[in-house]
Amino acid sequence: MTTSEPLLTLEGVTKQYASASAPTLVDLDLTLDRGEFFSLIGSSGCGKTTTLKLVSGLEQPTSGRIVLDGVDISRVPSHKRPVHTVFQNYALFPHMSVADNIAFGLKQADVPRRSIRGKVDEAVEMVGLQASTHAKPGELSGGMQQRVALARALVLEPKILLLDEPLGALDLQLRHQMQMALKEIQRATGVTFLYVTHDQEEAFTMSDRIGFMHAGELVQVAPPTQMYHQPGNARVADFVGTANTFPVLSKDDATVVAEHFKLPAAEVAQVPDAAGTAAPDGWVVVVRPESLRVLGPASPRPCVCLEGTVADLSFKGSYTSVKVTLPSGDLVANADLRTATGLALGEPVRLGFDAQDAWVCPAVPAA
Amino acid sequence: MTNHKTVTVLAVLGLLFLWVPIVAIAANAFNGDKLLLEWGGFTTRWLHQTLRDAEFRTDLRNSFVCAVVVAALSVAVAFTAAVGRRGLRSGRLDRADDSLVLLRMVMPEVVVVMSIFLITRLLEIELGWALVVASQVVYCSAYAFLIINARMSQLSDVYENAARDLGARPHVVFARVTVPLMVPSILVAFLMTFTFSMDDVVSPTFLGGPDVTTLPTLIMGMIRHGVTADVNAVALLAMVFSLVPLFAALTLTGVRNLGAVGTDKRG
Repeated sequence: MTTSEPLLTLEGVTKQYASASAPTLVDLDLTLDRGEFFSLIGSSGCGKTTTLKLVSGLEQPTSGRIVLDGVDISRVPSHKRPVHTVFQNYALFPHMSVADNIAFGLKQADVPRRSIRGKVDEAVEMVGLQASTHAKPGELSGGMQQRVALARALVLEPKILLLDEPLGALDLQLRHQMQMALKEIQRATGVTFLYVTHDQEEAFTMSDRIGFMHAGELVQVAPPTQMYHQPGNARVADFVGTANTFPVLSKDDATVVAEHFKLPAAEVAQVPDAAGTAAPDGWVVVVRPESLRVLGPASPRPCVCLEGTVADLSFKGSYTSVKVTLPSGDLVANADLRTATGLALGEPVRLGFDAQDAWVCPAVPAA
Repeated sequence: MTNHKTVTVLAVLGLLFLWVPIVAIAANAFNGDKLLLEWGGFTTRWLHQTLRDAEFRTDLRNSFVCAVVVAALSVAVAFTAAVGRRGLRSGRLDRADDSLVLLRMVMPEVVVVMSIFLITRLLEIELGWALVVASQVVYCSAYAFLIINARMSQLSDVYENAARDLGARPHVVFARVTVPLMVPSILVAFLMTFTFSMDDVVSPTFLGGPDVTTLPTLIMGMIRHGVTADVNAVALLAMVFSLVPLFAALTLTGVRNLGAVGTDKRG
């Protein structure tokens, strides 16, 4: 686990590509602790891959500093940084065997020939590819190529391993297996992982901490549970899971007022230091579908009660997702299977939630 | 259905046009009747005679060495140009370069060679092998560039980035990653320019002067005196000697599908 000793620090890093009009990264501050599994998430174009390239040295920051283990590496060329990458499409050298791919970096580092053999064997064993050491990458499946890419980078014992959407090309089942494998390897080796993905579930599964990026800025850095339950703004809330959002009409120390309900401010969880947080676009109340209950006639009355009609029922296996139309818009609630059997399309339904399951955070301008 | 038939007939005619002369040459190389007036029985006499002939052997060697030198120079020029082009942002400069390459290909060889010839007369430069090779490189390198640049422009920088990321210095990235990934296209360009040079008549005729003789000029000279069985034998041998290195090279380097050149063959 993390020891919260800072390993990598990005200080005010800005990146402006010559061909782009707006900067890709704006004044980014980020600290990674030694030994942690850190994920950067965000939709495409948010700057997460650029951040990775800056750390690896494949791109240079326009301004700002990148400090690794106390050394400013901002101007150190890529091949001299103790940082290695697992690329999106693996980027295995097609003209070299698996063993030669893994040995490539060791040869560059002038490791003696005898120890290269041993290290390659060890790495191959770590990722379970003993049977394929002499195969060319083209003869391997996607999952196996992924393992080679991982071994090729880890064998160099990087201070930080960068992973750029490494599981994007794999099918779902394999992706789940690889997530577990990555988590185990990260724990076993203790190497700090900086992982980039647009898949929030993947990030939740593996990470110690997650950074959410949007338009070149780091919006929120938090452990997975906190990011899910206490998102920094409505955009984060929406990205990391289904979110029912209610615009806040007014808000003071005593009550939070939305269109259909009022909440006692003392019971509602809010962004810490809410008074100091800028919210130029106002505030929203966020309620997750699992906190929104479908109420029967005998149910205890929760803090907030909303009435609408059932617009859609989708069976999800362990629960049913209920889409409910209200005059102000649609909501999504998760109903357990027994409750869901009592529901029918077009019928009226009552939904409720408790104040402590609501979260108030800044709204964002509509996209 | 009629469409189908027309296409089939045309295809067969086309194939006949291509193959009948080649088969005829091969057959007549073994024809016992020297003047080819009739089938004079099977003989390997002409082949033996040709293989022993000092002039044929010299000209074959001349053509082969010249073709290898031309192909090597053309590929070197083309590869260097393609590497340079890769660093060039698209704009006026690379469009101008494209036109120059195109010009070297569409300009009739006779015109290029004639203009070089006239200059040599003007400046009193001696004719010979150097001029033959140089003039062939002028247009061969354009074709080589087309092939190599097609691959180079498709070569994604991910492999080179990966190599840098793994600690490779720039020259190592180039030697261990960029060049190996380009090998199939370099090979194809080499074989193509080799063939161009091997069967070129124009350059040696105009720029070679009295001392330069090649296989094509030998055949041209022989035909002037009438087509006989031994001309067929020379032609057959010329064919064999230019095809053997081609297939040998393709087999040895494991490039089986020329269509795959220029594409990323990753699975």
